[in-house]
Order: sequence, then structure tokens, then C-alpha cells
Amino acid sequence: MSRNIDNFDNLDDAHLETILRSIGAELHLQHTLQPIQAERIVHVTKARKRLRAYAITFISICALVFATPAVRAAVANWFGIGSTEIKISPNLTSLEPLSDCRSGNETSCTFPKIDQALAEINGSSAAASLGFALPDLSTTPLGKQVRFATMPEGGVLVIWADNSTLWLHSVSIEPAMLLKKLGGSGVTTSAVNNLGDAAIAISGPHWLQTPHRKILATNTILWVRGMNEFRLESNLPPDQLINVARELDDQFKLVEMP
Amino acid sequence: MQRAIAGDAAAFGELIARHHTSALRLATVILGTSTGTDDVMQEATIRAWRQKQSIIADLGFRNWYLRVVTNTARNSRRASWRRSNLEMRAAVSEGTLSPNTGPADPAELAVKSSEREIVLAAMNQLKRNDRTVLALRFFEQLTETEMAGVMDCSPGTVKSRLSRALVRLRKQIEPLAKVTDP
Repeated sequence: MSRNIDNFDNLDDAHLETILRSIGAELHLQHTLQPIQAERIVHVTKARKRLRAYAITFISICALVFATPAVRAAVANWFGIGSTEIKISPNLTSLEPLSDCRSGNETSCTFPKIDQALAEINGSSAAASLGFALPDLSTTPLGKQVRFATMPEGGVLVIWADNSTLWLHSVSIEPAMLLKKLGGSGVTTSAVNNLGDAAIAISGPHWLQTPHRKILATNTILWVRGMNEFRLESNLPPDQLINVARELDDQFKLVEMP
Repeated sequence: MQRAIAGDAAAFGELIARHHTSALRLATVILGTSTGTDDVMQEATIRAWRQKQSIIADLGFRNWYLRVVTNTARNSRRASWRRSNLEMRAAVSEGTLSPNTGPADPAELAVKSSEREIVLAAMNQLKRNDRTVLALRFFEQLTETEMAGVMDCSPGTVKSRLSRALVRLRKQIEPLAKVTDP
């Protein structure tokens, strides 16, 4: 069958330009990451300004080395939240450890989850580490928390019986640090309303890359309130997890936090 | 824009969000693929934020941002070796346009999907600079003066580059339009 199209036999400039314009309107774009709404940026950016001030006070490294992570963190709010940059790669169709686990490769199948190999502490030490008393965290469907642990990256991890975890840390945690969430095409991100100053839900298995380790993660809600960041991870479906995050956030509203 | 230049992150973020689709489309054309545009967009946004005080008022934020995106995409390693593989959105057919850029011109609605496919296939055969100049003129619908601002060259240079790109596009269209399917 011939694809000799009539219009192309005598294709005039005007029609060619019309075709080009219509292509522009319908070109396939990879809208994996959307800029976050400006309203949310305001709050986080205020925290970032304070973070930068703390960084200048506590860290004396050369201006160039410092500038890169600081600027990157400032604009990361359009593609992430708080200290976390979110990168979704459509090429990453299957996460390495998951496929390795299926193929029986035990070596790389053993990438840690966030709560592995951590030093456990008691509630008082957790409060001392954070600088504020923890609220009652047993009111959500996750039940009564059973353990606390310190994180090598800073902050405190609350661990529930079903292995759900809440990582609390200050935005001034390692000012030069930028956490990276890495996910494949099966991972989705969405902004969450009515949670903290800004919040994002990440569903699906993905990596959390920190300067200290690479962690295998599942459904996660990230949110920022004031100078504090929260990271709730659980096997609960994202909708339920968002509700749990809101309930936890309501509890944190009751305590005086920096 | 003044607030953005002064370092108001909210104002800057609003401007970035407003022109996100244009910038993403341009990055896609320059890279020749929609894969990897996230990296370019993030890097371009970082550069733009760093260079916000150098926003050229006459250029306007959009065209200044497109210039940053253009330069970032051109410098991307992905742009240098990838074969262009631009595609139409899925399920685009005649009369069903739901454009990224706003309401479609009736003439654009009359364009056959087969025509789009052939012209896009021809575009994929072009070099990056030709694709860029065509994208700025027809996808982003910039004037030659605006294109000169984005490309940091004279309007005369834009005119000649655009003319040459169109000639090369037509040369690529010819064999594609007369292809006989098996």
C-alpha cells in the first residue's frame, strides 16, 4: 500500500508549518516530575534560609564546595521535599535487589531496610536527641511503637511492630547532605494536601540513597513541619498511609518543636 | 519577575512552573528523546536559580529560561550520542488533539496523523541544531527576534538557520512520504 500522501506532493510552506505546530502540541513528553506548587515552596524555603545560616555557622568549607549542595537543596524543592531529592528514571524498570532476590542472588538481595543494624535507644534518649518530647504515637492504626533507634544520618527512627517506621530529623541535619529517592517506572509521586508545610507521597519500591548507605524502601510519605522533616514508611497502601501520617502530624502539633 | 530576580523563591518557582511544559518540550527536542529530560530540567533549574540575577529583562523570563534549558540540554552527554527518537503522544489521531500548548488552531486539527508521523520522522533525521531552531519557531512559536535571544545570536543568523533547517527537513520528508509499505 502506498503511503504517498497527497499533501506532500505539493507541500507548501504554510501547511508544513501547520504540521510542525501540531507536532509541538502533541509531542510525547516525560512528565515524571512536576514542579511543586509555589505555595509549598515558601515554607520550605524559609526553612532552607535558616538551614543555610546554620550551615555557615557550623561548617567552614570552601565557598565553591559549599555552594553546590546549598543551591541544589534550595531548588530541590521543585523536584522533591526538604532534604530529599526525588529522581524517577523510566529506564529503571526493575529495581536491582528485587530482581536479584527473584533470581536467588543473595548477596545483593540483602540491601538493608531503613531499620537494619541501628543502635536502639529508649524514649528519653530519643527525646534528648531530638530536643523535644515525643508525643503519644500510639493513637494511629500502627499501634503502640515498640522501639526507637538513632540514625547514622542523624535524627531518630520510631519503629512499630509491623515494621512501619517514622524517621524524624531536623532540616539542619548535615547541611551538605541531600537524600535521594530513586525509583523506576513503577514508582509514582504525588503531592499530599493538608499535611505539614509540604508533603509528598511515594508509592512503590524504590531506593533511598544517603551519604551513609543505600536503603531499600517501599511506600513512603515525606513531610516538613517547621524545622523538622518526617519520613513515614510502611507496607500500608498509600491512601491509608497518608491518613496515618496526618494523624501522627496532629500529634506533633501538640508538642513544642524547634 | 522582579521578585524572582531579588531571590523570592516562591515567585521564581511560580515562573518555573508556568514555563515547565515549554522548557520540557525544548529539552526533549534537543536531547532527541523524552528519556533523561528530568536530569536536564533539574540541572537547568539549578543553573537558572544560581543565575537569577542575570535574568535579561528584555528577553523576558520565559525566553531567558529557555536559553538556560537550551544550553543545559546541549551540554548534556545524552544529547551528544543519542539518536533522535521523538514521538507523538499516544492515542493522537485526527480531530482529537488535546494540545500541551492550549487550544489548537482549526488548521492544526485538520492535520492528518500520518502527516505528523512523517514530518516527525523527518525531524528525527535532522541534527540537533536544526531540531532546536524548528522547535523554537514552531513548537514554542517564538518570533525570530525572540529566538535570537534564546539562541544568543543575531536575528539574521536565526533567519538563515531556520531557512536551512526547513530545506533539510523537506529533503528528509521527500523519501519518507513516498515510502511503500510491504
